[in-house]
Amino acid sequence: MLFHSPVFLFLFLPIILFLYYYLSRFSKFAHEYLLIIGGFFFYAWWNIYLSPIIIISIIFNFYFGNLIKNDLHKNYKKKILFFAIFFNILFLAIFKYADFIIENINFLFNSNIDLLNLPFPLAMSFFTFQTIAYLVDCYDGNIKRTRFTQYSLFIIFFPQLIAGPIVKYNHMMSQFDDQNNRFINRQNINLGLVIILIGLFKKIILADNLAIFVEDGFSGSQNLEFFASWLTSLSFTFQIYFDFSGYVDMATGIALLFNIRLPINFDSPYKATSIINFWQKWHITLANFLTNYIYFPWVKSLKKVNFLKIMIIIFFVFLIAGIWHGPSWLFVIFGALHGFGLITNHVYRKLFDFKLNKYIACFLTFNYINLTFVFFRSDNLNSSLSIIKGMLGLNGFELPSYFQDKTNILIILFIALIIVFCFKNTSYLIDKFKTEAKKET
Amino acid sequence: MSKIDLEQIISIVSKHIKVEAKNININSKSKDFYQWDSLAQVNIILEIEKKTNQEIGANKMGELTSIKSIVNHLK
Repeated sequence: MLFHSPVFLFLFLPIILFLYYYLSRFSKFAHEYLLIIGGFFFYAWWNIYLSPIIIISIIFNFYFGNLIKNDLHKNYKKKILFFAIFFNILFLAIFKYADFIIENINFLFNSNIDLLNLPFPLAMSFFTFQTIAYLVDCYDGNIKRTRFTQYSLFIIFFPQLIAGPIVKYNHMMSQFDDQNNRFINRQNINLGLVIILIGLFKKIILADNLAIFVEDGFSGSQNLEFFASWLTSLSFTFQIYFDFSGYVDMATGIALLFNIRLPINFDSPYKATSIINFWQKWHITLANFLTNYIYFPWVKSLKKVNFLKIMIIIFFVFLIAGIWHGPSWLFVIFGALHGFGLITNHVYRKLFDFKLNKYIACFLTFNYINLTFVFFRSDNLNSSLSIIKGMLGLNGFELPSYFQDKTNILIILFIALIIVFCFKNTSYLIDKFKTEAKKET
Repeated sequence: MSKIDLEQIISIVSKHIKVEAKNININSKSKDFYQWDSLAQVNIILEIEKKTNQEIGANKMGELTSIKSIVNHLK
């Protein structure tokens, strides 16, 4: 069930919303049970046979979370933490990366191991990271007591289940436990609906229309000339932003209907003035996870820290970020290019005091991001390289004939450009609305 | 454990984010300065550890992203 499907918008969501406020009158914990059942239903709608996977994950991690929280010796707790994290990564690896690993083994050793062809359970990458963050927070003593229903709700809360944002237990639970959030809040309902509409607009009008053109461009990329290559790559760069941020907007809006505020995940990322700045604005909750749960612990584990070692760690963290997106070497290249971009930024900041003009910096950053997304979207390396060749003008120029039947896509791209560079972010809208509402009261 | 005061904390932050100390105060946060990135954060925390002989865990590194939070942590 997708957020923009009629069954979700006109049946599932209104029923759950009505029951949420209605049942909360009668029982202190009714909202938890309802959202858990709703979450499982939402998840199982996609493939009921794969839903036991998330149930196993919840039971296992709840058990190990509690074990870690017990008053045990620190070394023993550490061992349990490592085992639990290993289990989660293994679980993810089996379902998401097994065939990728087998293909590479077959290629390297000229072997002929059969692929497993396992289906990939929905949202697994997201709830795996969310779970690891939970386990580490348990280890650090940041999470005290957890009921099974609380933990289940934390994982299965349907607005952020499929595409994030990656949330933290304490951030969510303080809101779920707040009694005031079980009463209808008109401001949140109005704001939630507006944000859902913004998300729908981004997803259906912009992203889905750009996707048709992008599909066309990337599937026939062998012959794309200069303008076609640029239009294709730019269309995807805007498509992925509107697709992802549109979906997150919908998630934010839906959560607000339940009086739950999800963390900001996008903050006008294409206005970034460096790659460092880009990762402070793009998929913020993923970047926070990578920083807090991989980068900082890794740096802290070093006996002696120096600039070179930190740069190497940054590079590897971004390789992980790349492969997290999917089982393909192209995602690894995407991650590597971002790692390289970050290192370049850090070296520049270390060596030079000169600050580039804001608009030039933004232009350079955007174009670098656009280039990296070519690898993210392509089906294979040849296709990526062919588009980049086209963008460099090595496949020729055909301006007049190429643009003849491209009016629609140019209009959409123009709207996208205006929205991305001239408008404020959805999170700004939420803050503004909340501030004005506070002033009124 | 050595004590460290607000002025010294501001001075450390100022050094690593390359912003004059007069532009940093108790209410300053990492979000206020584009230079206060994850690398600067590592360097700030490591120098504070060195100055105070107090180890700051990896789990705290992501939380101590404002002058106030650093001051409170070191109290």
